[in-house]
Amino acid sequence: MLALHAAWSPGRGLCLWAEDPARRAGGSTRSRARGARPHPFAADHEQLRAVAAALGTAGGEGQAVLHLPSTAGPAGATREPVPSDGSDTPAALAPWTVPVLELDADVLLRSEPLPGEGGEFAVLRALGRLAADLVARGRVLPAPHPDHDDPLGWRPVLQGRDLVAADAFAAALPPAVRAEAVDGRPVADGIGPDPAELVTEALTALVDAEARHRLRDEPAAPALLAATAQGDLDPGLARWEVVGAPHAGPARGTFRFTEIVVDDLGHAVEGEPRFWLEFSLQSAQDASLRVTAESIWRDAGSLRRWLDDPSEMLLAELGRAAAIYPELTEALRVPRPTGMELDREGAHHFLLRVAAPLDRAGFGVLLPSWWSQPARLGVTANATGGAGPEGVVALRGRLRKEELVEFSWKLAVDGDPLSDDEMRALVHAKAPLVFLRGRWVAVDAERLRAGLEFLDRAPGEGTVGDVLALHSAYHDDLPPEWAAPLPVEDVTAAGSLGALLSGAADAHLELLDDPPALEATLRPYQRRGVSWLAFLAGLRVGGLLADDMGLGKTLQVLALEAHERGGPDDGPERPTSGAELRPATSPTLLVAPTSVVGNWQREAARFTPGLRVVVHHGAGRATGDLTATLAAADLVVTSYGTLTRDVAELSRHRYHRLVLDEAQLVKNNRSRAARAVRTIDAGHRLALTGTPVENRLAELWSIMDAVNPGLLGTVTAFRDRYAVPIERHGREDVARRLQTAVRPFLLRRVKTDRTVVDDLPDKIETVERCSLTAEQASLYQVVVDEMTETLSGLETAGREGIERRGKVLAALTKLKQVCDHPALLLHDGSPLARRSGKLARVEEIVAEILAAGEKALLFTQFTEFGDALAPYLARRFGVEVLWLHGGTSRRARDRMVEAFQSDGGPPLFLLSLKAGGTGLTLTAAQHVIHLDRWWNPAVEDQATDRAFRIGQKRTVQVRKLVCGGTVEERIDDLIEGKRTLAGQVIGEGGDDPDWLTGLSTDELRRVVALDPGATDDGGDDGGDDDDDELDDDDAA
Amino acid sequence: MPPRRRPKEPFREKFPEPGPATFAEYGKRIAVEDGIAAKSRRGAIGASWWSGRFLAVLEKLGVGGRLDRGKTYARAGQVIDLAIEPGEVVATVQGSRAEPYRARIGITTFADEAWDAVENAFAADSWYAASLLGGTVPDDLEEVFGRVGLSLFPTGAREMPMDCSCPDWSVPCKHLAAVAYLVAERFDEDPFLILRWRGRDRATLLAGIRDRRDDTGPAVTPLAEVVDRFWTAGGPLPDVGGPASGNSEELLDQMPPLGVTVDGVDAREALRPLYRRLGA
Repeated sequence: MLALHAAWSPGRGLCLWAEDPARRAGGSTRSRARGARPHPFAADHEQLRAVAAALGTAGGEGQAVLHLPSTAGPAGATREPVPSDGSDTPAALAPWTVPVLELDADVLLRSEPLPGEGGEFAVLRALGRLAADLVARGRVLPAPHPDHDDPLGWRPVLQGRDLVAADAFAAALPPAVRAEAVDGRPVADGIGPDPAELVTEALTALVDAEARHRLRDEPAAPALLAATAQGDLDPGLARWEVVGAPHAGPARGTFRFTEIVVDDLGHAVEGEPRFWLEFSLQSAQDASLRVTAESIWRDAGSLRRWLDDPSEMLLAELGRAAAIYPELTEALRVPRPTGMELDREGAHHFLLRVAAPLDRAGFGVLLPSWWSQPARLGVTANATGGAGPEGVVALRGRLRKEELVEFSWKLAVDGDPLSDDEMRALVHAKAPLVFLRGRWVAVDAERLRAGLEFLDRAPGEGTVGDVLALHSAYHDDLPPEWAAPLPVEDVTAAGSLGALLSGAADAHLELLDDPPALEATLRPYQRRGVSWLAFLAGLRVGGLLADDMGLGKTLQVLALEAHERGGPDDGPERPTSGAELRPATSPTLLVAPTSVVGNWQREAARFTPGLRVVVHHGAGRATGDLTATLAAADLVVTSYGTLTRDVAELSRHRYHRLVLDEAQLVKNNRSRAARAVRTIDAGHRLALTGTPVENRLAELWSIMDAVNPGLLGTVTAFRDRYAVPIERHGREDVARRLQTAVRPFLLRRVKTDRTVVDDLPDKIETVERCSLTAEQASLYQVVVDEMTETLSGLETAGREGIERRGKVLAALTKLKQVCDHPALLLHDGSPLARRSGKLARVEEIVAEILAAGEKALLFTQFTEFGDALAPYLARRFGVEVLWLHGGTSRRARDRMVEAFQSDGGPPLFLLSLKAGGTGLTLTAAQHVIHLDRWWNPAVEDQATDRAFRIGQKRTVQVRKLVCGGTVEERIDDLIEGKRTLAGQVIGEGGDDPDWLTGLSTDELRRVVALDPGATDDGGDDGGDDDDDELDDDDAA
Repeated sequence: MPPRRRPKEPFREKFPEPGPATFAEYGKRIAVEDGIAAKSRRGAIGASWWSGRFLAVLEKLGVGGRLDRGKTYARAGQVIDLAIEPGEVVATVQGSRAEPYRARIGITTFADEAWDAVENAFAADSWYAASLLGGTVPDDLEEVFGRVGLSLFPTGAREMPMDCSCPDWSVPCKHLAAVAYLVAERFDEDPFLILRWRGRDRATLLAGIRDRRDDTGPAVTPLAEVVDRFWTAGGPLPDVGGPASGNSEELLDQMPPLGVTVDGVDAREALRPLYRRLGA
């Protein structure tokens, strides 16, 4: 294979020649011709033509005299060229005549490299790329070629970085490219043509070729060509030449700060670190154009083409800088200063005291990134051991707040605790600049000193309570001996305590067994939740269980109570009712919104029948001294309203635990309910909420303060420390700090959590019991009385059959309407607010759903209810509520479905069960709420499936709202109880409750009778109740 | 009703310059248009230590009032022209007579051999040139001259002969003093002028340093020195073709019209479609 070579012949351009290894054996030529001898193994023209053809071109044949590396020989003795691919060391240059093909510059732009091309080709092809780039950017000017067919030629404009690139090509040009001896410029002196001139010449030829190529389909106007050929443009182009002259603009002295990683010999630097301040000149116009002092001294000649006196400009800039930075003087006391070496102290001084003044004085200063983002200095504390024989590690749910632990403190840089060695390095460093974990770290000397001082006096021992306070309280709130002068970056501990601090407690705590007294099987995440609650209870630390709605917060609390109190079969001495807790004789006070008080009662009866539950709520509640009542209760359920009213009596007693359900209702810490909550004395405090409070700071503070009083400081301090920086200034570091602070006390699982989702079924169906308002209850009773009377009359008259059936159905419908809302029965279009217990519950649920940014389908069978409810909810929540019923046109229906399914579409979709029950796909909803019961569960299921079609990847929460103590609940019990037999008992076809209408009047009366406990507080204070709980929302 | 005229300010005679007349010994000086006025408007003239060193020679002569009057002259722009040349400062100063006076401050120039030594020192230690180029006389510059037995600044009036064509017998007269203050200001601005006064101008000095530093060596590396890496690139190739500017007409936009009309427009606009095409 030929070794292909390229030389750039001044005037002739690109010359291709080649060495033919096959000819090497032929021995030396013996020509005695004058001048250069023929190269003994150069390829002949025929071979070169084949190469040119492979490159897609042809060329003019010629000869060139090249000065090539040759063997040494005594003077006059025969020398031989040294092959380019050989390993022989050449000794000298000697001229050789070689056959060449003169090729168009085009070939460098538009041919693929051939095997055997020498290094000259690589550089020239790269130069071609620079030329193409210049052309594409229009960095070219017309260059008239009057004798050319197309007189409009082009030449490059080299300015700024292009000029530097061209200079780099000149520096890199392989000597072989400029090896030709030309007339008048013999290479005999061993110097050869100036590479910078050759590069300019080659670049000009390449630019011309590339520009002509690009313009081949768009010839210039004939008049322009004529003007060019006649030289008309020349005077104007001469002016252009001035604008396009090589030029890099004014420069400024620039200092680049770097670390010395290897020394001059390439060895890694060890021991005391060293830094290098590199001097350079930087173009004022193009900051990326920077020439180091080193290259200025090495090659001032070529730089002088675009910078006047580069070395003097450099010195002038350095002299000027020395006025600001006198230490520079010493570095200049050499012939060619290129930079200065700095030790650690000098580096620190430069970075801290010099860089900014230099920058202000107009010098360029390039600093390492680790300086522009200075390291954060802090302390960390690690709690280990413990006074107990088991140590903290072994303690499971029995860790107590008073337990003593040992503290070890460390300095931390950017949150990473320093090892003893690293700390020593920092202490002993002359300047606070240390190499840590593979990077340079600058720390503030004053803060470092304060930190070290604190480490000397920091407490070596404390309680578990101290650990928690240190972890979560703001340092201003800590007692002086704990208040570090630096931010506490991290507080860690071993074992369960550590897991709690890191927020991974629910994943790492030892799991409790399901309490035997619990009549349910906990899902795995619920078991983790109960274990977490029990661990906090053992510590007597308050907690906030903020699981997504539908994940079973109620069940987890009941399980906790069952665990602590044991069931009826367990003896009185359950381990967890030990010394750290109130004896089982003291009850847990559970405060919930009125609408779910009944729900708690029923859930407790269902899941923990062994617990003695007292509902302290409603008109019939106990009054006066509650000592006896409380003594007989495990769980006292009350409403926020009742608590507010009875706070004097309720706060006289001490409770095992205070549980705040829907705790977001106490978010306004000035509300009466919130104040009442604070007066309750309990051994342990828990809050439950389904809304993501961690994003609502005022709410978070209120709830945290209710369960761990004082933990987050005063509300004013909290606003200054967290709320304002996070909400107004978007400070993510502060947000992270707050998250860390509340992490141990907050457990929130969302339905989308992988660990939770795996535990979850595709849909969660719950029946929610609501209470009736006094108005509902009295209307309900009227309907029941009417029905009984009518049926008795029919019975007496012997008119049963169809007529009786109609009357029963009408009555049942009326009862369902009353349960929904009184206005539905009255048909009076009266306002909806605060007249229906069910509506109150709907509002709570919807508020949670909207807070979570999710969407819901709401089904009702009463169009009239929907007509009123849709605008009511829209106003109440300020969102669009879609309302689809039998009268909705097909087009409107399609539009609604599309809107609901789209991201950011309306979050609430109200549908009449008949119109919306079939044929729709509404998978954007994660919630389905059945506002009223259908006698036939199959119809409900079908509606539920709207939200549950293929494409739904999330768990769907289905709620069926039922008014407790009414026909709704009783029918629900029947349906639930007989679900497996549903097909037999209840007709498949529709809502045709034959089985109901077929009941005897007595049986019917029992089914529809109103339980005394179905209403809430009743007349005198029911409305007040709502006021208290919702005051914030109403104000908003 | 026409508006009432405001009462006129009390008439005040405008004097061309207050003050100097009271000091004049030979009558009022004649004002000079476009004279060289000192930039300093009050207090001392000559802010730097090196011009201070030069003025100290004058001040040592201590001809009290004349220095002050010279300062006033300098500020008033009485000096018509001034040149700092090797070996002397020559100036023309307008006094009270119609014919301006010729003032001259001489100095001994250093021999070429001495300058050779200085240039050698400068080439070996860039601090001196850097400082001078940065506009400051390095405080150890005197040592460089000291090493060859010379003093950069005159040590006394004997090394600095002054004469003026004015009739004042005292040296310096106020004209010489005015010139000296202006020279001091020139020294502040360009410390190379001190060296020029001593016999070596800036360009010659810098060229001498460059020659000695040998950084003008042949720009072209002789082929003979690179026979061992004859066929390959001698350094890294630059990155070519970064993000295109997106506008191939940018350079054309910077260009003035060519002044030749082609098809009814300036030839520059006739070229525009071609530039657009280059970037396409």
